[in-house]
Amino acid sequence: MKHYILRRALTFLLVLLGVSILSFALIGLFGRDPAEIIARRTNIYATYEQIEEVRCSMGLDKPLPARYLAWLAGLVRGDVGVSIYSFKPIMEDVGRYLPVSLALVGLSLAWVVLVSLPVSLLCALWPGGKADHAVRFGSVVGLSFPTFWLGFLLLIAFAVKRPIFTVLPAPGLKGYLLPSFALSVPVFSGFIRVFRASLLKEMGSDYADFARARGLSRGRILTRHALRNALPPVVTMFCQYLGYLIAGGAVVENVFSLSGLGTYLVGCVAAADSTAVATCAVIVAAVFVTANLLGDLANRLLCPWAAREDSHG
Amino acid sequence: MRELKVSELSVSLKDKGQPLVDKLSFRLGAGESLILLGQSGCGKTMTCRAVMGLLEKSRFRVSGSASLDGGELLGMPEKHRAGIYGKKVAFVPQNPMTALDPSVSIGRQMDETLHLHTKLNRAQRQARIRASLLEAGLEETERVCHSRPNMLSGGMIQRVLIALALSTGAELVIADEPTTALDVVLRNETVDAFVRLRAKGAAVLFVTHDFAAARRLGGEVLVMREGTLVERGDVREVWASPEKEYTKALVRASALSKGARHADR
Amino acid sequence: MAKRLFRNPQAILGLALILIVLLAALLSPLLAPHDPNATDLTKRYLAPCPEYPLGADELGRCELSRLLYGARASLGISFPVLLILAVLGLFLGALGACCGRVPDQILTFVCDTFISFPQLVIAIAVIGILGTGVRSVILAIVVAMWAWFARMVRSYAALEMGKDYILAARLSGCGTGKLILLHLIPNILPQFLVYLSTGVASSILMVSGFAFLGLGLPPETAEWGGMLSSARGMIYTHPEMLVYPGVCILIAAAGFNLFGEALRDVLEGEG
Repeated sequence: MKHYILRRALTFLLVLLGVSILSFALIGLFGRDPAEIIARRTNIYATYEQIEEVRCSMGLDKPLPARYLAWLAGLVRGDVGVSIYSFKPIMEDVGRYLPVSLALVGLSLAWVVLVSLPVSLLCALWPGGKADHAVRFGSVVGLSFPTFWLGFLLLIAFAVKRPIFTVLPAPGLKGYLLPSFALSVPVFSGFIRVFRASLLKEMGSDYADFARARGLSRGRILTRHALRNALPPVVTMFCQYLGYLIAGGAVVENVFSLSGLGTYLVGCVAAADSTAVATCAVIVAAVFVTANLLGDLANRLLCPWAAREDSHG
Repeated sequence: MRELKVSELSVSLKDKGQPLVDKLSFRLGAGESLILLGQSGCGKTMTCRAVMGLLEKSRFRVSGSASLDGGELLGMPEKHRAGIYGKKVAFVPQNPMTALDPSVSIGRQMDETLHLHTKLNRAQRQARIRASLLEAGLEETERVCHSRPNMLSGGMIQRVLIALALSTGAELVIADEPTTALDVVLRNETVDAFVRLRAKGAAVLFVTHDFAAARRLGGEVLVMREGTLVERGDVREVWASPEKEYTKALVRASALSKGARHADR
Repeated sequence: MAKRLFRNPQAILGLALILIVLLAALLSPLLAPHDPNATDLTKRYLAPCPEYPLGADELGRCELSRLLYGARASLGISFPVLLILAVLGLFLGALGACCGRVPDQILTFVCDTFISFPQLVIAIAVIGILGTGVRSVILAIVVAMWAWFARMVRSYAALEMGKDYILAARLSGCGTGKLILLHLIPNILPQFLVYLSTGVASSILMVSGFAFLGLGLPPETAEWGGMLSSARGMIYTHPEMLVYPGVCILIAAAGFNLFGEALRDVLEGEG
């Protein structure tokens, strides 16, 4: 166990380091001159000298590796400087945009649990039935929905035709209901497929068979025995999405005019703001890797008898 | 229980015509044992799964009848199962290691079964569980109760399953190759446990491919091949003077194996 | 196996949808009633009529023609992407599974890094580096998705490598290259096909997502995601313009997903 934790912690740091280097390398290759972008923002006809002045004042005259090390030192201090995209401290920006993304992701995952848990259980209770077939078909279609289009359909149905919601985001929870649902449809479709298959595998196992022989009903076997044992692959998937959706929500954020981390990231990349991109990428990756780690630990608690060595990343 | 009466039992796969069990009939009374003997694929496992109601309706076609004291077991509605299976009729599966939920402690799984079938309170159930574990030959009852299945050996879990049958006071015990996954010494002990169950008045339906185990248990034997009955009679008489060629071959094969010598000791 | 696939209604439906999209892409010049980029400001927001079966958009371009050419844009990117991903995934995955511990650990680490990295950032950066165009979108999606493919192949290959037939091949003097080509790849091919088919669907969704955000393709390109983006201003006046392109994306993605999942069911002996 000690060895395991040590190895995972090391991988964690290495992946974050890799992610930040990748961010700087990508932006470095980007070919856009951030100093020029900044200078032209205040004065479209900025001269070469003015651009160079901005470059020196923002510390953009140093070579990329030096800027990377400076950023890394800043990250350790907790202050990574000012974004050249928004001219505000990056940490402040993150503090403003991350909660929006987290709320969106959190609510989406709530939808996922709310939909996929009962649906999967019902499928596993009556496999091969009409409802099961319909769900299996529907889940593949759900997997194929472009989330942004679904967002528009929801807006047309519930904001334009029947104005229950508004096209521009309402404050509070209400503003997140539609976007989080749009974001969750492909996710819960995937979940239902994995969950249902996992539940059926458990229901077909020897212990479920013997539980029938002990007189237990299928429903009780499903909820008291199969459910717990079927959870590990679903937990793994859940934790993967937790990290994945934070940046992956950009498209849906765009449809519903929400400003979350995804939208901010897109803007920062466009402005060649390598420090802001690296900071966000590291935060997203940290959430991703931590969530995966938590999923692994949760699975070890759920099924301690199956200490699996094959669980990477 | 007075008797289990199986008549004209047939089992076949839905999409294939060839029957897995073809019009099998037998009767088993209290305090008796009946052995279904044959090689794998002879239909003996299908027979006991049909009696246990464990064959999926979507895949198998079951016809004939199996009645327990006059009550029909085949095609029994779901809600009546709990009154029979696990209570009056206990099952001992082939592989003890995979028979119990791997993430729930043995004590809780036994308690779950007792809770379902009896009106005992918690303390009474706990006492009953410990008593039946002791009776099945498991001394460390506390450790067994708090263990998850993977913490015990196959032989120990086999005893847990027998203890489970004892705890609900099962009148008919159906065992599907209970000795196959065990080593030779444990095999004999397991068979002896069934002999004790029978002595307490339970009927034992014992499925095996092992003549040695069958002889150790005793009682009537049904030698099966490809779903049909080859020969029947008292197991020791059939062993001593088999009539059919197929039975003779089984006896010869068994006499050569180690199991026979152990049983003869 | 092929026989069971053709008895699976889900597979048939998937194939039919794939065929429709494929035909639309191949025959769009013949089927389209108009040039998809021909603007005619006198026909802005034209209602459907025999000449313009689905009406015209905000620049008076024929909606149906643009949708047909959209299939071309979508598949024209997704097929090359999957071809590259297939070769790259098989090569790297087999390398990781067969060539010892150190290459495997390096591959696993690089894959973990790329998988943890926001895909969108990779794609925007790659498009930014290479400029707008079909080639850079293809490369952007490949860079964003390769790690998933390599990891998938690696895990299947590692599973396969533990089996006895590989040992038997090794013992009879089969070299690593030959082992991968003759034994490993044929045995993981079915699962790999499933992944490829669903991969096309992911790629179609990704292409349209990028185009929706205005990334990669020139804004006037007839592409479903881009069409959705330019139709968003019409949400109150002409909501149907927001519906058509999405239906096309859904049909294309669902076709490949249905086929892939049906293939998986058949391989796993279900359904």
